[in-house]
Amino acid sequence: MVLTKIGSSIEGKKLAFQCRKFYLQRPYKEERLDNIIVYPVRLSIFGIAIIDIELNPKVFFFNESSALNEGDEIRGEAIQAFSIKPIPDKNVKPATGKHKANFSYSKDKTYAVIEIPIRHILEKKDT
Amino acid sequence: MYFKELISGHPSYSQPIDFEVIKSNPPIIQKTTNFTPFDIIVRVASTSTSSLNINIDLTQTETFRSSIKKICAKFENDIKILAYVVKSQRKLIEYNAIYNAYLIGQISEEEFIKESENYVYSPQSINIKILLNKLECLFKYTGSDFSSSELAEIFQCKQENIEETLKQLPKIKFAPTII
Repeated sequence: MVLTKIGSSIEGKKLAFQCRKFYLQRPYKEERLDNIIVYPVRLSIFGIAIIDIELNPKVFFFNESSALNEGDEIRGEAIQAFSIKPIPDKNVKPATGKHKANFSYSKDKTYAVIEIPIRHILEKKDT
Repeated sequence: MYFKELISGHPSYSQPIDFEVIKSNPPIIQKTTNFTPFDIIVRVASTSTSSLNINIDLTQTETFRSSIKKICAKFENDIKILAYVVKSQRKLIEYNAIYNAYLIGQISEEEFIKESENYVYSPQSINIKILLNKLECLFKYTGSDFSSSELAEIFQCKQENIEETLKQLPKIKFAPTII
């Protein structure tokens, strides 16, 4: 299932990220997770987040409306995500014929949400 | 030209002139009879190059001083906000440097987690009025678009606070995150 609406989210044990711009943000204590430290990132310019490994047990830990199945993905102009462990690697690989993109994987429980929908969807909405 | 001569007869100065300016350095104004104390600023300006047309403006010193104080307070506040943003961005740069060290294998994950503890913050609830002032200042001086998550990180507050505040700024494009 591919989700593109603003606010759509996924949660998984391991998520795969793809984007053109990968912004690291400072860790913070997440109040809704008993103040544990989370490591946030922002995927900008056509970000994609896909559930690589499902949560076990398959129960949401942050947002009850999150998609939880393996292969579920969100696509957005900007995606906000956080993991309870640091994101270990960033690999730049060819994404399309012309562009290279950033591929990375989270290591433990990770949440990702569409912050800004993809551009053509925004434009479609305006007309 | 004497000060007395300059301001006597000026429409905004209603008191009878009853004092003298003694030529000295600095000049001394000496009263000659009793009169009501006053504290004014006189502006003397000439705009013509062909004739000696002199414009004289009088204003109460207190009025002038309070205007200057207001301007200074506004700038002081803006500088504080911008300094806070710079500090926050510097911390982010430092954190990025540590992350890069972790990515290239210079430090282990344990070391990275330990180091990153210095950069952890707890998002606070900030009053919308205070936040509005901060965001207006940031947008005014930088002219840049920030996402709500970036702003939440900069001001170390909850993202919901930012989204509520951005609604008060209708001209700014923003995309709220629904969680």
